[in-house]
This record gives sequence, structure tokens and C-alpha cells, in this order.
Amino acid sequence: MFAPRTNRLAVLARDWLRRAVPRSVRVEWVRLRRLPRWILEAPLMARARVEDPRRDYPICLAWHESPLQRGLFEGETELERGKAINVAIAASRLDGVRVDRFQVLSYHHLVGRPSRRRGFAPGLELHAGEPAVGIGGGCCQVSNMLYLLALRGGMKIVERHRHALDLFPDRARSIPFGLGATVFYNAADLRFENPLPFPVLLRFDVRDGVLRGELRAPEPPDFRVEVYQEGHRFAREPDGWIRENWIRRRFSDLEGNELRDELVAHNRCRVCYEPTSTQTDEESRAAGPR
Amino acid sequence: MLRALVKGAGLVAVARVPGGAAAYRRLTRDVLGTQRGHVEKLRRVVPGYVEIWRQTLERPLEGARIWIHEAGWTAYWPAVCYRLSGRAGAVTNCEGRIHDQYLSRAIAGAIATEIPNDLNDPRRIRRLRALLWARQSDELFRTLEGTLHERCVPTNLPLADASRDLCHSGGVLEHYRPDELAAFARECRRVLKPGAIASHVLDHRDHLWHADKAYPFLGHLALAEPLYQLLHGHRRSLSYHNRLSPEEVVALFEREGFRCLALRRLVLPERIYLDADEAARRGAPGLSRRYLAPRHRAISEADLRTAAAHYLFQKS
Repeated sequence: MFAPRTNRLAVLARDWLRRAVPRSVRVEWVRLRRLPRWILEAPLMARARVEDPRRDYPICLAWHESPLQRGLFEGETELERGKAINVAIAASRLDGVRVDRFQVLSYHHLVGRPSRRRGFAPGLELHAGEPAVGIGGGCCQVSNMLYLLALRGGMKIVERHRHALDLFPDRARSIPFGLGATVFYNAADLRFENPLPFPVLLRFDVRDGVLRGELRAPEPPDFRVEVYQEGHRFAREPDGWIRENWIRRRFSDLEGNELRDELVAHNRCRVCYEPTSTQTDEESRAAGPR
Repeated sequence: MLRALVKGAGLVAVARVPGGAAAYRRLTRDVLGTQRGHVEKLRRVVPGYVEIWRQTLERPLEGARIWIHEAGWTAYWPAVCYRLSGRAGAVTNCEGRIHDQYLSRAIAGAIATEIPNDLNDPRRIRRLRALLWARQSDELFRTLEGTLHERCVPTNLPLADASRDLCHSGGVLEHYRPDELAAFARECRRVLKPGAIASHVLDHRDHLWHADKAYPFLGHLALAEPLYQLLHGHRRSLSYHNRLSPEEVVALFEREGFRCLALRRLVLPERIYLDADEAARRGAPGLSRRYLAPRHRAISEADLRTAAAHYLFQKS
């Protein structure tokens, strides 16, 4: 009898605190709680940069490119400009970083806190599942690409947070839905470990409005990676449409024999647009996860 | 010398603060990742252990049911047991837990461990390679048919009677109080099959020596028993060492029904394993005899020069 009442009280207290304490204070509290660990683990994180990447890391393990402007939020050119600035800063912080064997790369340890003083500009971001304008908004494009490169390059994902909203309908989508990672300094990080027998190198570059990322290695790997999705569907729920899928990753050796097939992520998020009938009919027929 | 004393004082102080010992372990193992070098160390010594196990075990290692009693921290042992016997075996630990942050390192270490050619099965290496991307050690135990028992009581282990062919521990038993060690030896006897082997490695050094090599490696033998118990003997101590000499350890296991097959002594500064006579000749003493506390004055020359020892007992 007593335990449920305590839980209810705890929930009520939490709700009251959430309403009474401003969001900025709550965010700083979360950051402060993670700070001691953050400082102590900093020396262990990947940070070293490589002088001559082309010579020492000739093999491209994975690459991807995506345009900075998709013309999705028309009239919001200020936000698009801000996003381009933020992406360029984040990409420059990640470019040339070497991840040694068994070392962990942390997005936030490299990119740092997005603030005006450090050159970041206002851009579109998600706050508690709602679109909003914030300093450093749009950096998720870099973390999304980093996540994709890590998956395709055979890295081991240590920490990743999915987006809570699907903001825009697909336009010429080349990768499965949900292959992204949201980041929020320093509470939600993207981290991966290099389990390969050699160090890997990150290359990021923004040129002609296109963000390009590469994961390079000094020697060719003895495996292949395939990232694919399962059970992709749109479903109508009482509070709107949701989109769901399961991301899987398959490792095989060079002869094509399967080494490992693992579930990487289960994505389920609210959709901010009305899916077309084609999407809902065709894709909702997909089966669930294995 | 000063560094060791500062570390010793720090450990004594931290362990006396409520929650201090747990916080210290969390800080060092979890955040600072201090167990990273552990796998590399094991990778170097395990080929020697395997050679001895093969010589003493009355059955082949293939298919043997191995039990590892460890302090915890890395999943190296189940992975290497799988390579040796085809099964990850049973892992018990009393204080620590296996940390997932060391998982890839542990598996890569097990793959890189040099084991005899006739035990080297490429299919097993291939299966281990696939686990390099595993995020949790549970997956390793599940895949390799092993069992993990964490936070066990050393005097009451959750393993069936006469169920194991080989037991191994490293760097654990020196931290058990003599009565606990005797109870663990009884448990070991219960769990092992008749004729099975118990292989235990005890680090007899004062562990402050690991922080400062200028400190005498048997420095703890200089402290009288009441003073040692006052400083290190409390329940949450981070630095307790039972200070048993190799001969006392052998006598304790023999009392519990084991037969000592071999006692290999690690001597410094050469860092090689020798038998008793050679150790007494070649090893450097861990402390000058005149500084030994009364309880330890009768220690033999070989014991005074033994930094660590590998014991092989057979259940008689």
C-alpha cells in the first residue's frame, strides 16, 4: 500500500518541480551533474589529430555527404544561415581526429558547448520533442553523419540518442529513416569505440553547401558492414502519426559469410507532417523486427 | 617511497568514509578505466598457465569445465576459456563486476593470446571476433554458454558439487582473511571433481609497491598485527592483505584436503617463476629481516624473496 503512494508523491513532486523551475535551470543542473565525470574522463577520449591524413590513412571505410540546405523551412533563411555556421564549426572540430584502438570518441568532448562566444549561431533544434530555435541548432546534421559513418565503418556505438520527432517528409532519402543521433550538450552525447585492430581517422568538410564526412583507416578491414532497416511503418495513434523502424547491422567476412547480425536501434517518433497515402499503405505492410 | 605512503594513507582514509570504498572503485574502474592494462598483463601470463594446466590436468582441456574466480572487471577469462575448452565456463567474483567498457579489449586480448596450436580452433576465433562489437558482456556469456555469478560470498558459491575440472584465480585470494580463505578452499573442494586442479595465483607483495617501485615489496610485513588490523583490517578496507606466506597458504590448502602439486615463485627483479631453492638463491628479498614484525620473523628465505606465487593443488 505504501510503495505506490510514495511513487505517486515522487511523480507529483517531479511534475511540480518541472513546472516551477525554469528549463534553463533544469538543463544546467543536468549538465552540472555530469560535469565531474566529464572532467575525469576527458583525457581518455579521442582528441589527437593527424598531420598527414591522405598518406597515413589511405583506405576509406565509410563516407557520406548531405546538402546543408534542403529548402524545407522556407522563409526561415536566418535559421538556415545559422545552421550552416554551426555545421561548419562542428565539422572543423571533428576533422582530422584520430580514434585509437579501443579509444572512445565523444561528440561533445570534441565539439564542446555551443555558445555565441564560441561562434555558434541560432538554428532550428528540438526541445523536449518540440521544434524551437536555439544556439547551435542544426549541429545534429553533423552528429547524424558521424553516427552513420561509425555504423558503416564498424565502430561500436557506446552512447546514442534518437530524435523524438520526424519533422519533414522524405525527399530523395538515400539512407534508412532513423539513422541519426541527437546531441544536447552535455546530457545527450554520441559516443563510439574503435574495436578494430588499427586507429581510424575522421574527415569532415563543408564545401559548396554540402557536408561530407569520411572514416578512414591505414589498412583495409577484413570484414564488410551493411546497415539496413526492418519493420518500417507509419501508424496512426490517438495523438497523431508515428513512424517506427528497427535498424540492424550485418557484418560479413570478405567471402561473404555472415559474422554477426545485430540490432542497432529501435526508432519510434512522432511525425510532424501528414504522410502520403503511398507511404502509409506500402510501408505499413512491413513486418516487425526479427 | 613517499608516493607509496601517500597512496596508502589515501586508501586508508577513503575507505573509512561511508561509501568511500565504493566511490573509489567506481572512480578508478568505471571512470578512469584503470583496468585497461589488466587484459594485456593476462595475455602475457596465460600461455604459461595453459602449459602447466595441460601438464597437470588428468584430462584434455578440450571440453573441460573451467571455473574462474576473479576480482571481476574484464571479460577476458570467459573468452579465453572458450578458446581453450569450447565453453566460456563459470566466472565467479565477490567484489567487482564485469565492466562492459573493457569488453572489446578483453575479447581482442583473448583472440591475441598465444595458445598451443592443437588447441587453436579458427572457428572459435571467428565466433569471438563477431563479439568484438557486443555492447554487453551478457551477450558474450549467452553466446559462449558461460555463466557469470557476481557479488558472491566466497564461503558459499553458487556452483554445483563436483562439477568443475579446473579452478583458477588470480590476484584475489590474498585479500581474503585467513578464515575466509579456509572457507573458500572448502568450497573449492566441494565444487571440484575428484582429481581436478585448483590453480591459484597470489600476489604476496604489499600492493603499494605497484604504485611505487622504490617501496620494499614485502613492506607490509614490517607492521605488527594490531597496527595492521587497525589500519587495513576493517570491513570496507581497500588495502587489506592477509599477509600469509607461501608456506602458510600451502599448509592451509593441505588442511582442507588438497595436495600441492607445484608452487612456482615469482622473483624480482628478474620477474621469472622459479622453484623454492632457486628463488632463495636468485631473488631479491622483499624486506630486510631486521624490519620484519614478530609474527613474520620465522619466514623462510624463499618466502622472503617471493613476490607472487602460482599454486597448483589437486583435490585428493
